[in-house]
Amino acid sequence: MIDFLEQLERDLVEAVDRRQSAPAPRRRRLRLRVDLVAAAAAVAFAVALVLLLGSQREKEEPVTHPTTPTVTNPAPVPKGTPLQIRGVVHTRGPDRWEGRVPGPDGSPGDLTLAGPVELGQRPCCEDFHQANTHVLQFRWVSPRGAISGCIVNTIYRRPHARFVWDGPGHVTDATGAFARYRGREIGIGGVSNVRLTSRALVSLRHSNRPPGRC
Amino acid sequence: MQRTDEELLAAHGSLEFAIFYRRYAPEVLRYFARRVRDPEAAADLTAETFAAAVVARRRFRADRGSAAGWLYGIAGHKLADFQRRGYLEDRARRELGIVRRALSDEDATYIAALGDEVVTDMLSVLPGEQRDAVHAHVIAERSYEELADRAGVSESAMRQRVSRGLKTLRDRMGTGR
Repeated sequence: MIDFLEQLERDLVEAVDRRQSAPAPRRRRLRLRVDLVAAAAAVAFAVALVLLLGSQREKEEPVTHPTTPTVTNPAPVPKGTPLQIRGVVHTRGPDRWEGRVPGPDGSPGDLTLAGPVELGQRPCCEDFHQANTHVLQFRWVSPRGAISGCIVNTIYRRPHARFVWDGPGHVTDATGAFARYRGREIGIGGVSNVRLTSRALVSLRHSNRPPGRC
Repeated sequence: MQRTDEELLAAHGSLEFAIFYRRYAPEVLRYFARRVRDPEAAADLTAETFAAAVVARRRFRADRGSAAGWLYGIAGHKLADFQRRGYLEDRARRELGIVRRALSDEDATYIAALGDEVVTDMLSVLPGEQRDAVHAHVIAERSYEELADRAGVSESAMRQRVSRGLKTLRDRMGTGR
């Protein structure tokens, strides 16, 4: 045989002897490592999935707030403080919307709207005669008091993929620091996206319009 | 009593593998030399084939075929990989810790001759002038003009001589144009 083949024979024989003396082949160790990597990847994937689902749930469903503690004998809001409750609410049932939004003094409170809101898919655009009108009961509660009332709310399908909330109402009850708003006229304005009808940005504020019959 | 190839592979010992290697190494080297026409590549392919055989010999099953067929199956895969990629992987040699060794000039000449044997055998069936013309033009890569000058014929006559020789070879191999 030529030198090349003789040298190759020596190399191969040495390699066979080395493999004979090493009982654990490299392939088996590699397979074990692959198993460990796969297990670690599965755990990491599961943790990521839980975190992802958790964050999605936080985005889609507002947290249910605990019962608002009450401050005894709160100081009334200063005279002339505009009546305004503005923020984002989400559906929490067929005819129920909730959200934690700031009140007239800027402090956060829990706003609840109860009543039908017609946000079904329909072509644009609607005027007053075609729109859907329903009575909404509202209640905003903060540690310093509460404001509640009713609104004759109308939903309009408007351009730019919007549903517009609009209507007059009045405050039927106000307590604590907000007692001065009792009996005031109030109106609602708001907007929902036609592709995300579980969310609305609403504003309840003083209105000079004639109060709706509610 | 001589042990069979299958018994040698099943023994898993280095001595048995050395015997198996000595039986087939020259044949495998010739197999590659005739197909790649490059001594270095033929040597690399041979080394990688036997290294792969060492790695995989525990998976050899005598009931599924002969040891020689199994070995040439590995060689065929290595050759196909080499021709597809344009280079040869040394995965099996790396796994065994076998380093690549440079060919000596003598070994390279010997391996090149192994590759030429088949061509020489084929050309022997041609008439003398055609054999010389085909060898000089196809193997030695001489131009028609140079060959025509040396033979004292026109260039078109030399083209026709080579063409007829190649046609005879194709006919004998049973392959059309």
